[in-house]
Amino acid sequence: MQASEPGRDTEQDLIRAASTGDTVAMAKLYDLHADRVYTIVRRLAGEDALAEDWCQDAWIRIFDGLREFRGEAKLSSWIHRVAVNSALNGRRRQLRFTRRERALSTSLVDTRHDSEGLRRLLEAAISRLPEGMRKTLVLHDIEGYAHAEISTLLGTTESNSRSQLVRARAKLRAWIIEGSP
Amino acid sequence: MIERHLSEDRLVLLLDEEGTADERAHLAVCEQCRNQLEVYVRLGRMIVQLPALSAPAHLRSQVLERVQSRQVRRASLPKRSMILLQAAAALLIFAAGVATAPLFRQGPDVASPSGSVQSSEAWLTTTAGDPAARLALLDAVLLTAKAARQRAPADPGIRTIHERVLAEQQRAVSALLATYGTVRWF
Repeated sequence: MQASEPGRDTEQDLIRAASTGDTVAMAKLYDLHADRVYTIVRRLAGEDALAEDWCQDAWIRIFDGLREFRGEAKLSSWIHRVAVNSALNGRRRQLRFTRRERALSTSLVDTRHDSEGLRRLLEAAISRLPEGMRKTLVLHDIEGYAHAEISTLLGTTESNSRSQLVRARAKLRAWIIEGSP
Repeated sequence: MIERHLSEDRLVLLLDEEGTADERAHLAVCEQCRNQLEVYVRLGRMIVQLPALSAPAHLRSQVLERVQSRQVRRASLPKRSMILLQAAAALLIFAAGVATAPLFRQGPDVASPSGSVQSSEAWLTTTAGDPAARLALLDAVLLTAKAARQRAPADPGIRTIHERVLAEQQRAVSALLATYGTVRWF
């Protein structure tokens, strides 16, 4: 497959080259957006292995969809949206709740008193939330989606989205602040 | 003003909503509810400020390998298309042969095909025309389909065509036997 020419590194050039199968351009686009895609997918997935599978699916969709990308939205927003859809439509795997619960209990003891540890604990607690609560909390509180959008994405109602958010926040509060998983 | 403490559900939603005048009045005088709300406010701030995660290094190679393997598969598609085209061409030749067979056939008249614009599928399964001519053409198509299958043994489309033509050839043999009693090769 052809390689990107030197200097063809503007976003439009990368899109054009990647959409024709230029793997160097694809790699550059991946490097630019990999962390953002992984972050949203990992938080929605709640576990590493699932997140990696969903990320691969997301990137295949992104590269396949570049040909149809018309630039009406920012590329980063479009990639983000594709990643969210890939994660929400992703194939389910058996959730390993037990293992996650054990990991969270350990981190509660070990990392309560420093801010980096607290962030890790919060990430772990979000991962541990039941699927509906986790997705709603991630989409609403972290990604800034409105309840109307979330209800469309998850195929629920706005009131269900609100209810899931209330329960998710209450659970996190109990786990993080009160330390009672 | 609300006398009772605000429910946890209401406190959680007050992160996003202004709340009613009664709720605001209650919060103004109730330290317990204010503290509870503050806990949620701090938690919400922590959630919003969570830093981006780093994609694992091995994910990059997995993604790019998967992209490249898809490209390789796509690049091999023309070869498969050529084989399918070859099989389709053979079917068309067969169809044309069946259509013109009555012109060259010797022996009792047989009704000509019902129209000149029939699909290959219709020609493949037709019982019209000279059974001997049909069998000869099916043999030719079968040779092409067999060769295509040897080149692409895993291709389900070619396998289906080969099996269909083989089945039709066997039916044609039976039909010929029923018509003439013995198979008469040209």
